[in-house]
Amino acid sequence: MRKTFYLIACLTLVLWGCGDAGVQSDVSKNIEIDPIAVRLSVPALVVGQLVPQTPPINVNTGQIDISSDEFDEYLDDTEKFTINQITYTIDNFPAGSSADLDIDMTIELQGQSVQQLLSIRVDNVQNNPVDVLLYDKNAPGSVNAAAITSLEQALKDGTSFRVGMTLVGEDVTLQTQDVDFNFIFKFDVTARIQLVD
Amino acid sequence: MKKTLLILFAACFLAISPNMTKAQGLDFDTFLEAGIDDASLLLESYLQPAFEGFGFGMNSGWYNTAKPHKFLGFDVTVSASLARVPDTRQFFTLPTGLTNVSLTNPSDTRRLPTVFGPNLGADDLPELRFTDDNGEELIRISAPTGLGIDEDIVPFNAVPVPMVQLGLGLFKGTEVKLRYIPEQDFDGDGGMKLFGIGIMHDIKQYLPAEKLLPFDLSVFLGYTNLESYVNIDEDAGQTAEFNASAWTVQGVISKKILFFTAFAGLGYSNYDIDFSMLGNYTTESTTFTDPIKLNYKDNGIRTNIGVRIKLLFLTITGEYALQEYNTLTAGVGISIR
Repeated sequence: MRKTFYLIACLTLVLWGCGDAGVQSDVSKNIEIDPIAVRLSVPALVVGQLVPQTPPINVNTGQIDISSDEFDEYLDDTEKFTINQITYTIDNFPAGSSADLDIDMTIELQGQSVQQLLSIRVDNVQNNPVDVLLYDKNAPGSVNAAAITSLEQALKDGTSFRVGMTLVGEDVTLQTQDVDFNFIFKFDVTARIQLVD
Repeated sequence: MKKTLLILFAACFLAISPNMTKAQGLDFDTFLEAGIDDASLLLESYLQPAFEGFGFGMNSGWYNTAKPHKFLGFDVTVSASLARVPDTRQFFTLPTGLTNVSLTNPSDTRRLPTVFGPNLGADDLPELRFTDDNGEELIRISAPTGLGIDEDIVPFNAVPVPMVQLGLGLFKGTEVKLRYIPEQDFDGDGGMKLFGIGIMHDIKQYLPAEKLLPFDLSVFLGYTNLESYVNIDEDAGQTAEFNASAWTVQGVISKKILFFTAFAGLGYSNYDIDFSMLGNYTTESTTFTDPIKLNYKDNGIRTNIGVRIKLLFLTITGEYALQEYNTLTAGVGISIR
């Protein structure tokens, strides 16, 4: 009663209620996940020479938990997650060496089977490309839509996932037997939050 | 954190309202990451109609006749004013001078709703982009929605201002009016106190042949001050303060016919409102102390008309004031002598 009185007597702005939309908001972040370390290798005999193709390399990100790490405080009120974009950056590929990469990407939701996400070719890795678009929700191209949907649902459920890559080097010329570099993925994610119905 | 969230667009006096116990979706800490100056600018624009309407509303409901009480005559009146928010105050454009906040899509021509703007879903709201001092994006968030107050229950968009006051007749055509609520503390949630004083004086008595003039004529001067606070997080020493003062000076004329009294006033009104968020607010990188201090003040001509119905001791009053926020007031009370 006192609080009710306070609401009135202190001349508060009494809210009669929100409209149909309630209080809804989109909160978006472009989230950079931990780099994936990749080692591209050639036999010692062909260092400095053109190698048409290298054997496949399998790497993955380890468990990623975007929703809990980045949207934890909103999770209870989140209606859905949308993945707007996925981009990649290649970092630290050494100057003097060169390669193209054929990459098959998969996602593996915790406790579920692996799903194919997309296949790409990266030419001239030695240019260390920055923020190259892999997926855009407005132009999804050949990306596996079902995998994206699964990923969005996993975000809502707070389920972690892994991104896996199988890389094959083509037209590779390395100045050392092993070349180490990093793949860095960014997920641009929107959480739609409904705070008051 | 959730409690901090709600402060952003609700301000202290909204924070205790059930509909605002969850946030507007905007993250106050993120606003602070963008800088105090930017946070203040955004808040100032978003909350503007609420504070302005409140300021104009405070000067309403002071009188319902130009005839002061007789000696020791008195009235007790409870009133509620609705200060109508002009259409121009339903939206605002992103303030100039922001350094770390911008529209995600610079070509987005949509304006941002104020707290008294329409209630919009996220798809219909411009998106704001918050960056740090290095230009790195921190987060993107839908602009805060308006509350769509005129959509459901009331027919127009208005700021309500309730009031209770006592009028007491003195001598020589003078009446004093008091608005008073002693300091209240609400179990640690917040507190408030209110004081207002008004003087009405009959000036018709100084006119020649005043007995022949078929109306009452007075001057009125009134002042109201409200101080309130809400504890956001008592443990963290976070509070929000809302202090408002308003005064008005009016010439008032009225004419009584049977139990009807028509009255009108013309004069000047002024208000000055401060809103502050006090205490320490910690972001990922910095702790800000007393981050928000907003001030709203305005003044202008105030004209009002109204009617009072008096049935024995019971009075029922309706008043409409023409000013920047036109204000409708309804009151009920008892009046003796």
